[in-house]
Amino acid sequence: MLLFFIISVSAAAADWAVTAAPVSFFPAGKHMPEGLYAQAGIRAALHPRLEAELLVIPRITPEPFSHAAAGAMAGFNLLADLEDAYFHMIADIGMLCRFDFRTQEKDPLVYVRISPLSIGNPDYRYRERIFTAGLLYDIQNQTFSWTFSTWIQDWFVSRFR
Amino acid sequence: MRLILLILTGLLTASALWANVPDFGYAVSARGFDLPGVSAYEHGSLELLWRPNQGPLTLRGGAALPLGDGWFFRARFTAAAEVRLAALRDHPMENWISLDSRYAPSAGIGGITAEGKQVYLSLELTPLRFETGGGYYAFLAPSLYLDPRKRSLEGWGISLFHFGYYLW
Repeated sequence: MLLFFIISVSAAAADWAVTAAPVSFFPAGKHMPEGLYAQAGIRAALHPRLEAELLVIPRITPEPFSHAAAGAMAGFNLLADLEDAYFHMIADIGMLCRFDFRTQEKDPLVYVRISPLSIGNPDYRYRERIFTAGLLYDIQNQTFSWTFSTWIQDWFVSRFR
Repeated sequence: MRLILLILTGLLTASALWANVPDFGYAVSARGFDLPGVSAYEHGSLELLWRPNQGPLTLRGGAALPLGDGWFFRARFTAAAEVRLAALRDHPMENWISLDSRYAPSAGIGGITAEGKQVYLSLELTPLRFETGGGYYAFLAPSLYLDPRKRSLEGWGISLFHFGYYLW
């Protein structure tokens, strides 16, 4: 709630973006069942080095929305301030809640991501986070799995003309 | 030496006379299926493209690999012919495409292989497709798969994104 409040307040003043990406879970079946997953979210630049993101990752195929994960991430621009550079490296840390809508089960997961190459910034209105790898940790079962996104697209809607 | 350089420069410059807008290219996509004989895992797809004379028709063929489920060993082969239905320069999604773009939805027909020598007929619709100078970007394109022998609908699929680039 606090993060949502922060993002809501910041969105009026700071840059914010709509995000979308394909997400692959490996190994399939460990934390999320096999299938095609898509991420959609909202990301706000709270500070030149700090960003926050709310995201949802539903299963698209073979059973649409049978499973999903939703959560919040804090992102850190590791190399430079957001507006000072075109190329960035971004680390994210946050929490996801995994939902199984068939059994009504839900579990918390710690989510850590690294985007080794990010191209663009709010001045350009677009940013692509390339080859983003993530680590998921199931707190209750103490198990790990990982995620991969070929790219994550950020549309800085706050700069759209 | 100067003469050689001059001749080489002249030849390279003259070669531009035969330069064409590329007709051939490649496309990458992320796809998922709910289809018997095709893995339920996410598929990464790589296809070659041919757009005769930069016209509205694009032919493509390639393979879709289930990521983490056999990879190349369970690859499915795909082929399709798609036709651009319109090309609108001023469109409401202009801001969302970083390059100068045209809204160019398409529809297509094709095929995909499955286990047991099965081949399905596919009907594809790409409502969110945007052409730029050297290619296209498409999102959330659904497809239906039919068994041509049974004449029945066997499943469906979707392409999360489909990016094509014309290079040659």
